[in-house]
Amino acid sequence: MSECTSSATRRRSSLPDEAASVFADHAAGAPLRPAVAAARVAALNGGPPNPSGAHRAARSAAMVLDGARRRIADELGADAADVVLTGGGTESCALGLLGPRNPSAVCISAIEHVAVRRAAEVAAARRGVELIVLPVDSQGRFDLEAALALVPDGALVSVMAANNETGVIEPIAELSRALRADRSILLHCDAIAAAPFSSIAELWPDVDLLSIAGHKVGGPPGVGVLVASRDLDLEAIVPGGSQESGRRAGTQDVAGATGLAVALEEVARERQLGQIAELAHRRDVLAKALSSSPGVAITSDGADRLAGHLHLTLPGVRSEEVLVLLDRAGIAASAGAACASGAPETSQVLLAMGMDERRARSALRLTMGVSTTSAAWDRLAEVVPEVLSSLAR
Amino acid sequence: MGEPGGRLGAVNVLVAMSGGVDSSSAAALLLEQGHQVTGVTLRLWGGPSDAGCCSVSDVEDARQVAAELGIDHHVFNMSEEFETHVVAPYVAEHAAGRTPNPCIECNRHLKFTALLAAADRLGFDRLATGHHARIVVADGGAQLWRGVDSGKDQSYVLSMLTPAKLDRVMLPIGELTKAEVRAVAVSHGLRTAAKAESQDTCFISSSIGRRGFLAERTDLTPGALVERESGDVVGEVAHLQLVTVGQRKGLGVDALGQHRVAVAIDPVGHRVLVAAPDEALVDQVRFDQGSLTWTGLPLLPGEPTLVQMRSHGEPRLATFAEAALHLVDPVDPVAPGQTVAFYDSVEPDRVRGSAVVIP
Repeated sequence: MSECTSSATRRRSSLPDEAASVFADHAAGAPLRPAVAAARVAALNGGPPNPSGAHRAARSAAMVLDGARRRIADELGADAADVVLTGGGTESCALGLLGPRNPSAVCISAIEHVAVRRAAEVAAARRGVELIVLPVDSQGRFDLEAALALVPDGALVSVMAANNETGVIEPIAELSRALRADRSILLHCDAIAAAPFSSIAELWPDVDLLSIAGHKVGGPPGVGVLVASRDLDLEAIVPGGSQESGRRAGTQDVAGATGLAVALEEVARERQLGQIAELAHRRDVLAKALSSSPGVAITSDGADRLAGHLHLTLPGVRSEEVLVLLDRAGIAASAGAACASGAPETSQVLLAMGMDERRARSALRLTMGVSTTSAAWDRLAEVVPEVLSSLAR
Repeated sequence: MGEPGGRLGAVNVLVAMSGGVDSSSAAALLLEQGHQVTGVTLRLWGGPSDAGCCSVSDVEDARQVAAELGIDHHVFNMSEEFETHVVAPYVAEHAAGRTPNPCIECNRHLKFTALLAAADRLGFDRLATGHHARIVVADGGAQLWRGVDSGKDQSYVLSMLTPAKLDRVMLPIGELTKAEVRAVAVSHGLRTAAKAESQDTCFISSSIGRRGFLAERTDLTPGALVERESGDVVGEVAHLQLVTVGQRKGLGVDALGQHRVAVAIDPVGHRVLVAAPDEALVDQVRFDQGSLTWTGLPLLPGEPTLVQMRSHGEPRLATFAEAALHLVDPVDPVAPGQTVAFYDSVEPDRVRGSAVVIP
């Protein structure tokens, strides 16, 4: 055992210094904001956690929860009664897709996250209706014309606000104008990837159901929100108590909700201070530097993209190998999609955009945030081209 | 290169971790020896699987073992290569009436070609696996030897390794018995210490079975059992693609009450040729010259060699010739598609090379 320990220590000491490490996988989960951690700990230490109960302690927790819900609702531009707290983004999407009782069909874009794809499959099967997949163009932009031809009246439609891999921002407002009024559709929007950068308050009036996740905005993991008008009849997917107006059973995570409120407020502040625009600028500078490497193509560079997303391909190189070398250099990045085993699978998003498999197998997603330091940006610009060229053949 | 036994100065080694106890202990031993160790698990198969190299739970076991050892661990998706080089040929070989060895093809094309190339590109000095076989450095080169635990020896499935590959490969557990391998895992507190061994073809689950798997991917057709000598039709099999040359089971008995032996599969003519056990014996095994590989110096025509024709088959003395092996004592017919491994006649644990059997 002692030998093992000493070897392990030796191995770890050969890793790059903390200072040199760069976290460029914000889209997988942004670093927890210090203010969120502090607020969460304070809420956890505040007393018994269950806000349901006939005593002062419960009422006190309920008051904290009410406050958090109000703050979340304010940031999302919604009414507090429209905020359904869930156990995370996947659950929010599942409730958004499985909750509506009588859709005439379930329609999703071809680039939805697996959380929406699977929930849509289950919803269509459970309601006995057709699952219709709506195409995107080669830039990964939702094809509005095609959707007009494909979406039937009374359908439940789910389109993401922005794609989690490419970062492409989808035309939700246009989609809403074109479909929502005339065809009495219900529109669910997975805004999980968009929430760290875009204004959800501007998005919410255009949709009926909207999902966000705590850990993408630097908030706590395991906390999500489905925004849904209180008048909308939703069937709960978790049986149990009448919490969340009967839409989501189970004791609420008061501390988690508090943390999420703090995170969303910080995101809004970043937008107001112009930090998101600055982030997009830095991303563009890095994209320009990387695209000068032979063979490198920036994905969807003709489309509006989330400020922190930089997605690229280099045919012939394998994503896994790029990630190994980046990891060794202390850079955390991703291939865009990961399966349960941790091995990158060819991205369904890129294939839906018409990208060939060989190129898709080379995908690299770098996602940064406001907290990414100048030194980290510099290091990305220095190391990523080196790694790509060392593997190019 | 260091002294015999494959001992080296500290190197940067990528160890292929299947999620089983052998490769877990291989990683642990490399750490004990002072090497810089990184684990990799290959995701090879997306379909149903019981265990072995392919399932999600095995990837998870490998990841946790790496965490227990404090080493980096990566997962590579090589399912396309696996389909191209292992699964598709497996189906095609069966369809053609041959009996492939998918483990050898996986070693040949995946572990010791694609993964080795990746290890090179990623700057690793060596690739290690948890096979029960040894690399012995002698006479200025790396030699492949049987593992110390003769009951677990896997040198047969590595017999296609070439000198250039052997130079870059480490087989840390070849010097240990299986009991010792488990003891290493126990001493490191690894979760795989008591894990059962995988046995069957990793991409075929027990619930589907070989027949079910092949039926989904190719036509399984009935065939007449035809006596080779007389040409008489003596029976029928439901799926001739599932018959293996050398097989006795399920082919009925002849007039003397002896189990018939399959001696040739003819999918085009929809027949399986059979013979009585004595008549079925062969003293010559032909091989595809294009498939010949050598671990070091090639055998010369006329040179004696010990040959092994199955994973745990009995070695037989034979004389090597350019396109065939001449066996000293006749053997049951050997299925085309199988690999024959050549061992040294003087040092019977030393692998000399391999070839694939043809009719």
